[in-house]
Amino acid sequence: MKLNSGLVQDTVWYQSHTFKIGLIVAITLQLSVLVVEYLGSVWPIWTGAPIILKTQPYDPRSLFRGNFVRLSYDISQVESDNASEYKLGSVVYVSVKEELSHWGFQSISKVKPVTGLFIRGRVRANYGNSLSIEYGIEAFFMPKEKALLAQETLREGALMRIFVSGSGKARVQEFVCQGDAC
Amino acid sequence: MRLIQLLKKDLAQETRGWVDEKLITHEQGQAILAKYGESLENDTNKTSFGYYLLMALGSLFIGLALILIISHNWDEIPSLVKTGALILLTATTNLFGFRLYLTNRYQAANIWLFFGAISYGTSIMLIAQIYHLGEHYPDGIYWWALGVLPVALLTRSRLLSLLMLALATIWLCVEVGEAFFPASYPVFLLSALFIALFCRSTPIIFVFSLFALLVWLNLALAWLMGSGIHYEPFGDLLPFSLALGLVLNGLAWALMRTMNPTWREYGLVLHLWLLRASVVTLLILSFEGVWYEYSSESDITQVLSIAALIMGGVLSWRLSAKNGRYASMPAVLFSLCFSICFIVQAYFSSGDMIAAVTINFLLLVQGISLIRRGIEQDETQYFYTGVAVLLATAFVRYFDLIGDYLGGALLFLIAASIMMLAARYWRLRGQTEPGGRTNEA
Repeated sequence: MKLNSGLVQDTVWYQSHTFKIGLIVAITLQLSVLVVEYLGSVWPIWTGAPIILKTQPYDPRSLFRGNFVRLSYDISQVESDNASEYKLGSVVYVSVKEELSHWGFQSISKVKPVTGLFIRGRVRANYGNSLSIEYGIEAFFMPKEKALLAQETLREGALMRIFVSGSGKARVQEFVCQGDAC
Repeated sequence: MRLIQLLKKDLAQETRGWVDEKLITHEQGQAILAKYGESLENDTNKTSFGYYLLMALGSLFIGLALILIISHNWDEIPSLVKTGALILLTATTNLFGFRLYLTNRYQAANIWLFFGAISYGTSIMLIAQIYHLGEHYPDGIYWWALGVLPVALLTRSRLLSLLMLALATIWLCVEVGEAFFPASYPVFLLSALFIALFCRSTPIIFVFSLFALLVWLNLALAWLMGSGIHYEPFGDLLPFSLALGLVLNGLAWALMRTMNPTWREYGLVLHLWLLRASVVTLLILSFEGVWYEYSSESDITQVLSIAALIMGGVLSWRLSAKNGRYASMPAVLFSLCFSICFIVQAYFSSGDMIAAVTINFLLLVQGISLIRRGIEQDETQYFYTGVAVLLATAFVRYFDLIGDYLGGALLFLIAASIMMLAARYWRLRGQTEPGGRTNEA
């Protein structure tokens, strides 16, 4: 390859089939990423089972991501006798069971359960017998005013409708509550 | 390699004036400018570059406005319509850029592809917002940078390369901030380096990529020390970084010897930035307190770090030896002094003091050497940098005495003696050397 090619070589390159096909592939790659992101977002809602989880909204803003409320669930912190065996960043499966008004924690496992409803998450912190887990359902985007209102009015706790696919992938859909914040 | 290489556009402008005034012939002017990869013909790209830059900035502002408008959470529009519109926008802008390439309008095509890249990133973020994706959010920035990477490589565009590099670096920062390791960051750096070395003259990208690589290597070492689970920064990162800095300095000199004018320019720019970085580093390390706070590991890591410093020095010397003593001597001197500092700091009770004094003398030597180099090579930048180094050293030492007042005074006296002896030696050498310029000092 010639070093530091000038405009002449650029012109030849831009007119080549390799460049044209490469650019089409690159654009297709960008569009594929967007389509996969979309499908990954709606697949659990299309195919999954709805459950209700207890949550607490807090810290409703982010410079990077716009306006949203951060959601902390009951199952975000779980107790386990062998918590130290779960490495940071490792995938875990949390089985949930139905209670009176919502679904609650049942058990945690490193391997995918064969039966029952479970959510796939990642270990984010590990202290003593307690594990902090993220499921990808910790953000709920809404306008700034509504987000602040949600944080204030639902401080005592709220319920969220979540869809869980067969692989344990979860997607948040909506607040299950009454009032202006929902 | 002279600093005038960095002012070649100004040189071309001056030379055109000399030719117009008939001070030199047209052929002479061309021959002079050809030496620096320039031409007497007016740069026709200059006007179009201004247009290109303004259009690119305009695209960036439109993209930012788009993010703000859509970030306002438009509740009323159905999610599917919003998602479809975003994908359509990304497809349209990119395909319009592609179409412009087919009609040979390359600059306009690059602007549209740049706008397409902004739309693409906006879409990633907004689809995540529409569907409340709470996953690890740096992944969104990563996929943005990764999507721009092939477009930048194919178009060889500086603008897209800068965008790709900026996105990858933001991803590095947020990924590290979230306590994860950005393992694939070098892919972006190496791609940017490929564009800088083989496709486009772009010193900013070249130098930035090398320094970013240095940062990433430090992070990688800290990650390895944390067993690949978390970061565990350790003291011996410093000697490793200094060793890599020495190697980069050797690389800069080697580049300055190449036949390629762009690579020579890269070498010079890299050398100048390393020079500035070395002055700042030496000034920081010249405080005894810094060495007191510094804690290295007294195990195999420490031995390896000192070995790395020596090897870095040898490699730097090997790479720069052909450029003369101004190039090769600092490699040896820096490697030796740093090694002494880290050894005494680890194994001697008064090691902090010895290390600080060693670095102070290294600063003096660097200052004297730069002044001499500036005068011998008629390069004012080195001359004034040398003066600044000596003044800065005197200034910080005046307010931060090593030992006590008498110790500080002794240090100043020794420094003064070294400078006067160096000046005297220089003068005498000038008188004895055949053709030596006795009045140069």
